[in-house]
Amino acid sequence: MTTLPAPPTSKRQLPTGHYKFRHALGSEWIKFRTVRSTMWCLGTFSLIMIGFSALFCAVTVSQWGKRPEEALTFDPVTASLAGVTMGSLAIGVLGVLVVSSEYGTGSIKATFAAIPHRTTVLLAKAVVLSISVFIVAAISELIAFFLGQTILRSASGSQPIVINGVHLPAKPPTVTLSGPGVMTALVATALFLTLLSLLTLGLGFLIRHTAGAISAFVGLLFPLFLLVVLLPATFKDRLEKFLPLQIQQTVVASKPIVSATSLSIWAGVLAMAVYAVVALAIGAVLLTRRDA
Amino acid sequence: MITVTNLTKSFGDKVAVDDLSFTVREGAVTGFLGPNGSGKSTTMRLMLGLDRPSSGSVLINGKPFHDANWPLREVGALLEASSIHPGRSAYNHLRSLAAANGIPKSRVDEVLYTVGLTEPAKKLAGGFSLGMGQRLGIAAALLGDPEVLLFDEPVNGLDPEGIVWVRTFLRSLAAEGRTVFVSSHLMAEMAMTADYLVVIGHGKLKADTTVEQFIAQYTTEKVKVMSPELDRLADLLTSGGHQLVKVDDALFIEETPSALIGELAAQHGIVLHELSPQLASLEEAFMELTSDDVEFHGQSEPSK
Ligand SMILES: Nc1ncnc2c1ncn2[C@@H]1O[C@H](COP(=O)(O)OP(=O)(O)O)[C@@H](O)[C@H]1O
Ligand SMILES: [Mg+2]
Repeated sequence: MTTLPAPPTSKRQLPTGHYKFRHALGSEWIKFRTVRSTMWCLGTFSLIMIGFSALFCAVTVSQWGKRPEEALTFDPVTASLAGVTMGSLAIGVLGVLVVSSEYGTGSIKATFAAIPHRTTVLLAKAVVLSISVFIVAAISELIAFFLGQTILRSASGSQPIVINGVHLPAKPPTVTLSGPGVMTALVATALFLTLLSLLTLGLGFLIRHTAGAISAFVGLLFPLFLLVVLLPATFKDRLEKFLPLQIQQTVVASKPIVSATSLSIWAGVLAMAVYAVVALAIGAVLLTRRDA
Repeated sequence: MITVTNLTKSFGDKVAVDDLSFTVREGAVTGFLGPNGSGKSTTMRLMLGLDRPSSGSVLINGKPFHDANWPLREVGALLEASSIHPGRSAYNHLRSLAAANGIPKSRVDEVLYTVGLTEPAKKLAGGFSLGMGQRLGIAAALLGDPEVLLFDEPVNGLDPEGIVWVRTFLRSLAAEGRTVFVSSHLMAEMAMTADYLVVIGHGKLKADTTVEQFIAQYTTEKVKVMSPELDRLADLLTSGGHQLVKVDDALFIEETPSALIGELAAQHGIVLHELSPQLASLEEAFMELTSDDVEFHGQSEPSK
C-alpha cells in the first residue's frame, strides 16, 4: 500500500505569548518620528516659543516706563514665555495629526491589522506624544526663559517712575530659575502643553478628518472663549476660568492673580487633565465601536 | 483556514455583504470573484476585524482575528487602496509594522528584496507608482511570514510583467501550504491563478466550487460555421434537432461535435469556409451568473 506524500505545511513556530504594549509603543515611536509633519509641528512650536518670547522681552525693554500701568503687573516669567499662546496651536495640530493623518491616508488599517486591540494603539500614541511634547516643551521653555531674562537684564534703565506714590523699578525685574514660582510656572506650562496635545489626540480619534479636528481644536481655544466672554457676568465669571486659553494664562505666571474668576495653577492643570482624559475616553469608546 | 459564517454587513440601508458562508482552504489559492461593488473589499475588511459585522462571524485558524497572538505573523493582508502614509518611506513603513509584532528589522530588507523594492525603499511612499504601491502592500503582507494571506485585487495597477509575477508568487505561497485568498473582478485572471472560486454578486454567494468545475458547469462548447450556403445548412441542422444561433455571416451550433457538422455538410455538398470549435468565454459565464447583481447597469439596459 502506498501513502500519498503529505501536503507541504507551513506550520511555523510562533514566539510564545503575544504582542505587548511595548511593541505598540515601538511601532508608534517609529511612525511618530518618520513623518515630516511631526518635525514641522515641534520645530514651529520651538521657534515660536523661543522667538516670540525673545521678541516680547525685547519690546518690553524698549518700552519700559512708557506704559507704567503695564509695568505694575509685569511678570518676568510670563514675559519670557510669551510665545506659549501661539506655540500651543502647533502642539494642538500635532496631536490631531498623529491620528487624522492615519485615517486620511488609510494607514490606520495597516496599523490595526498589526495591532487589532485598538485601545492599545490609542494608549501607545498617547504615551509617545505626551513624552515627546513634554520634553520639547520643557527644553524650549528653558531656552526661552534664559534668553528672555538675559534680554530683560540688558535694559539700560529709565528715570525712576512714580505713579500714585508707588515707585516702579527703573528696569524690568528679572528672576532666576530658583526664584519664587519660576519652576512651578515652567513645569505647569509644559504639563499644560502636554495635556493639550492629549486633548487634541482625543479629538483626532473622535473626528478623524484633519481639517475637521483642527477646526474643532481652534474653535475650542478661541470662539468658545469669545462666546463665554459675551455671556452675562454671573455665568462668565463662573465659566471663563475653565477655558483652556484662560488656564494657559494662569500657568505661565510666577505670580498668578488669585481671584474668584481664575483657577489656581494646579487646579488649571487638573482641569486640563480632566479634558484630556474625557476626550481620550470618548475617542476610545468610538474607536472600538466604529469601522476603521 | 478561514471560516466565514452567515456574515452580513450593512452600511445604513445598503447591504454590502449578505449572509455569506464559505471556507478558504490551506495549501490552495482561493479566488474571490465578483463585479465591482459586490462586497469583496468589505468582506476582507470584516475578516481582519477592521469593519464590525452586522451579524455573523469570521474565524481564522479557529479564532477571530482580534484574538491573534501575533497578528502579522498569523495573517498578512494587502488591502485595497494602499494603506500607506505618503510622507513616510517604504522602509520606515515596514519597520513600524515589524516593530508592532516583534519582527526583526532584517525581515524588512528580505521582503523588500522579494518584491523588488530594495532600491526605492528609502524614498517616500507618496512618490510611488500604483504598481510600486501594490508591491509595497505585498511586502507588508509577507512581513510576518504568515500562514494566511489575504490579497485584495493585487494585480490592480501592475504591468503585464507584474501580473505574471503576482500570479506565480501566489501559486508558490499556496504550494508552501499557506491559505491564500485573493479577490478580483476579472474572471480570466482567477481562472489562471486560483484552485477554488468563491463568486459573489450583490454581497450574496453565487458559487463556491473549484475552478475546473466552474468552467465545466458554466461554459458550453459551440462550433462556428461559415459557408456561402448558410441558410441551407441551418435548415439541415435544425431539422436534425441541433440548437443554433445565426450571427452576421456565421452560425453557432451548440453541443455538436464539429466532425458531425463537417460530415453533414459533405453529404449535402455544402461548401464550408470555416468550421471551428469555440469555448464560450468564462467571462461571459461570470457575467451571466452575477448579471442581476451588477451595481450600475449600462445605458443600453432598458429602464424598468
Ligand atoms: N464604508 C462604507 N460606507 C458605505 N458604503 C460602503 C462602504 N464600504 C463599501 N460600501 C458599499 O458597499 C458595497 C460593496 O463595496 P466593496 O466591498 O468595496 O465592493 P468590491 O470590493 O467588491 O468592489 C458598495 O456598494 C459600496 O459602495
Ligand atoms: Mg474592492
